[in-house]
Amino acid sequence: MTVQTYKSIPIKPYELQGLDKRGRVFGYIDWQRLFRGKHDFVIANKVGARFNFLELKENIYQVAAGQISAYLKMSPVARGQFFVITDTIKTAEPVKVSYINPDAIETLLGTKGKDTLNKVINLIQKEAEEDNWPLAKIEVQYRKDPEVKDWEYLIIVLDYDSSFEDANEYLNILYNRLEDVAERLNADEKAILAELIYIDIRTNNGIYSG
Amino acid sequence: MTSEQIMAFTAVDPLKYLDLARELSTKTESEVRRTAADRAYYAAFLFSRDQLALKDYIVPFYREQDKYDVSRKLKELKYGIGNSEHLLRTRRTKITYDTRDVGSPSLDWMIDTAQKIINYVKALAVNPTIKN
Repeated sequence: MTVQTYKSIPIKPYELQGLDKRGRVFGYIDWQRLFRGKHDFVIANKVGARFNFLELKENIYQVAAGQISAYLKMSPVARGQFFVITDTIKTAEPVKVSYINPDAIETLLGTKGKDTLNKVINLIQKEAEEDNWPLAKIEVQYRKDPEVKDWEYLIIVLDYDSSFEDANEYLNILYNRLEDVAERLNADEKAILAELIYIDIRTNNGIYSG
Repeated sequence: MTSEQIMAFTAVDPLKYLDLARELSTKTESEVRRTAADRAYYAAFLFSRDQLALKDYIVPFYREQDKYDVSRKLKELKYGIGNSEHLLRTRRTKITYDTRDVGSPSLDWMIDTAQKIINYVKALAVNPTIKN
């Protein structure tokens, strides 16, 4: 089935219920809100451990009636709300992270450095998930600088399934978020970020500095 | 230097390298465009190095070590600018040393990035932590 994303609307956490016994996501949405928008297909979307928005999709009625129930079950509930449940759940898994030469990475970072690296990676995963970045994977690489003697650092390579221009835009958004986070880091963490952690992008047309 | 010696290379304003990079970027020959990429990086790096020194953020050594100092200081001041400077350098390294086809971002990206770094450093105030 092909459905076009119409828009996402924020749902207050108390409206979201969680998983049922069969592992399906369910939640409540205001009937009038659903009806006013003339949407006909709702998918609860999992973000981290919580469900904090629903995607409203259209064109459901292009699908045969028998198929609809496989995607969407609705039954009225109290006080004018609509109970929504679907099997076609877009579960947003965190983007996978791989470490190239993990021993060298660990030696370079030490315990404090690992915490800082994890903060950066968590931020990237969160932004990618919330803003639907086409980020296929994250790769952490250990590098010795080719020009400056004894300069070692890590590069977090963000592998985008997009053009370089789009990936570069995501990178600029990430810079803004990271600069906000950096302000809240302690002095040691700031030093680690400045000295050891770089970010690069790789795109599906092979553009990459490495 | 003796009186007979001729000054082969007079002082240079790094911003002129960016002008040169722009001029060369209009050409199609690979060797010219690679030279433009190289100059774009050095415009950003050298301007940053000289300005950061002038504004009391770093002490320059006029050798490779300066690349580390500039990168680290820019990242401390504004992560995105420091990281961009690093990306510009790694791309310039690739373009300079690899004579094969290089799938690098556009020369326009390199020139724009160099300009962005220069603009940031130009607007930077003198290091407020330095006491007279």
